[in-house]
Amino acid sequence: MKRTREKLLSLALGTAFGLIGAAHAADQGITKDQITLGAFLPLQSGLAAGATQMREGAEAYFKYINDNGGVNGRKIEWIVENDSYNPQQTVAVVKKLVDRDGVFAMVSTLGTVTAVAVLPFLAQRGVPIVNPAGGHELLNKPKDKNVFAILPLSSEIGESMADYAVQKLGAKRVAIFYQNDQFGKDQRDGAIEALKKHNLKAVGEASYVPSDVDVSAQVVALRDTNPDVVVLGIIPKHAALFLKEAQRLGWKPKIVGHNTVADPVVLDLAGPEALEGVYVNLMTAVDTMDTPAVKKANEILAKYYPKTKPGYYPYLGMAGAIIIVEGIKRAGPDLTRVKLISALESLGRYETGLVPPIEWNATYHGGPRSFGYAQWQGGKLKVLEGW
Amino acid sequence: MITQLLASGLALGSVYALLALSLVLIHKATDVVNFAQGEMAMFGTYACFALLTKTEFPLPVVMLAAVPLGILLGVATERITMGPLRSAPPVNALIATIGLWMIFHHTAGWIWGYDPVRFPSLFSPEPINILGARVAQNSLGIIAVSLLVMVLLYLFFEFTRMGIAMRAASQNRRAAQLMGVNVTRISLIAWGLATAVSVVCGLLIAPLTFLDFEMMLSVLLKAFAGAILGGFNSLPGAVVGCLVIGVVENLIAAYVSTAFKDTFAFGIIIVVLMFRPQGLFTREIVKKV
Repeated sequence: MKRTREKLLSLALGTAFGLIGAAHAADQGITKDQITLGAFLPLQSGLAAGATQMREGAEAYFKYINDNGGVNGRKIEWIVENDSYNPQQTVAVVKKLVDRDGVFAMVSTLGTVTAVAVLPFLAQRGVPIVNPAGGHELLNKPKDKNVFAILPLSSEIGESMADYAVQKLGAKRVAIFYQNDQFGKDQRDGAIEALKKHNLKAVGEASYVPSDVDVSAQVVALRDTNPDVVVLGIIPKHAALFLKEAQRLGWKPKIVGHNTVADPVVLDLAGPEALEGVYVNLMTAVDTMDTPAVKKANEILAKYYPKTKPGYYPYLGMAGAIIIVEGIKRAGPDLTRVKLISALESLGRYETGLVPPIEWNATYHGGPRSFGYAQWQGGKLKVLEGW
Repeated sequence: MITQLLASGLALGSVYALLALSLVLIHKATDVVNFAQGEMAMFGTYACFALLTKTEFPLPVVMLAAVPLGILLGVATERITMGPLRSAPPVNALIATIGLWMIFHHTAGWIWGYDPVRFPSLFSPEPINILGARVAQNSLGIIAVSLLVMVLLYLFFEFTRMGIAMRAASQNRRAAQLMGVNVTRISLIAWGLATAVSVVCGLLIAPLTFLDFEMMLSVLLKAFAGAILGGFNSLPGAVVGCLVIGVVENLIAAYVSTAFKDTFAFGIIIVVLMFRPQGLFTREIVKKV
């Protein structure tokens, strides 16, 4: 009798410890044939359009990988939760993803404040997060061991745009139109810094807030400063509002815009004439790039999400998916979070073809530092400079 | 520069004015402040856009269809949400309209997606030169429609039996009822009319702001501000108030700072409310006990 009880007890304890042991050996979210990943996206908010496209870009790649046998024999399950761009909701859904769904890592999330709100929790649990898309030092030049950025700092984009205006377009008078939040202000600050290097000052500055439905006053004010080039640190809808307003006034400055101005939505909203000649900074691919990587990405997207047009957000989502899959592959069959992190750090100069080359190492987890440039010509983006 | 700023300010103000007219209409007839007005306009505009793309009816036909569609939307909303609240305290109706705001906002995103889309315009995109300012024909259309709607509604409230009954019902519901005014019907008519006006407003605004589930957020706030400036019960007051807001906003953006244009616009409202709580264009109402 005593024996049986001891046996039962040891069996029970054994199972319990065994499970914990197993969880430590392979980390949570990993089974024999599945890897569970997660993401938080603002699927119901002003950024919802981008969030949906980002999800579809990443999801298409995971489906493609799964249909081709998975990674090291494991299929990928990616659980996406909506946070409505509300940091409190992000904290809740990330706790749910990590504690209840037991995700192994996070990939291709969207939102700045929302990601910053959950970084301490993810760092504490050691959950890797690849491609937290946003604009903040903690996300684009991360110090945490578990964070890997695919996007550059917004200020570096601003710097690059101003450099391009001065060096390539020969601008002497540069004006800046930007979104009045960290996303836009950082670009503005970067541009001002770059102008300083060239002994120039911005001749005009104007801003908008995302809820604005009209930017006519800003356009008139900027026009009156008579710039050669206007730098836009902006999102697609307001880029379209700006361009249409400038067109209405018959004002045609040279324009250099953030990568979001390459979004097909801008073409749809503003029309090809208003966009003609606009230069765009590239930190993701554009669908007209004639490279094998872009063609393959377009095919994958067309197969799994035929309604989604290739562009900034789908490429960005997919780039995160490609990199985490590569990291998981290199980390080998006995996958752990620590192994994934060291695999990502040892990628070297890694080309996804959808974003500029990634150069992570043990001390640098930040985004790329090179950019491409393209120009809208006849309703099509023509790549002028690759990265 | 100044003429261009004034012209675009007036164009912008007329957008606010068109929505403000619906707000004032419902408030004048039922004493309810409808926070959902902007979202109902957006929702109706999306419905018209669906009609436009699914059936390929020409735009003017869809514009005409917007009127019955708006009436239907307004009447249904009134029946379902405002009807049961008629004998509840006014604050309940106010909270209910905030709930409606959320419902219309998220339902639209859920049905039609979150991407902004281009909306066709009745007018040619070629701008017209007025005293050196380039004004979109669409904006002139909006100004014309808002003035027309304002005049029609003004005549309706001042000179028709139904209009007078509406004003009576909002001032003292019980007394109006005792005089034989059908208060339930008045509320229905007001919601139907106001929603029809606001859907037309949405159709006129969408070519300028793009059709987007967030297109009405700031328009609604400015329309409120303009209506309050005008006294909230006066139709001409609301229109003038909104035009003032549009112009002031533009001047501040150009001459002071673009970052402060909303702050200044709303700052003016606070000042007005402090010194003329009844608004700039209505007489003070003295209630006798």
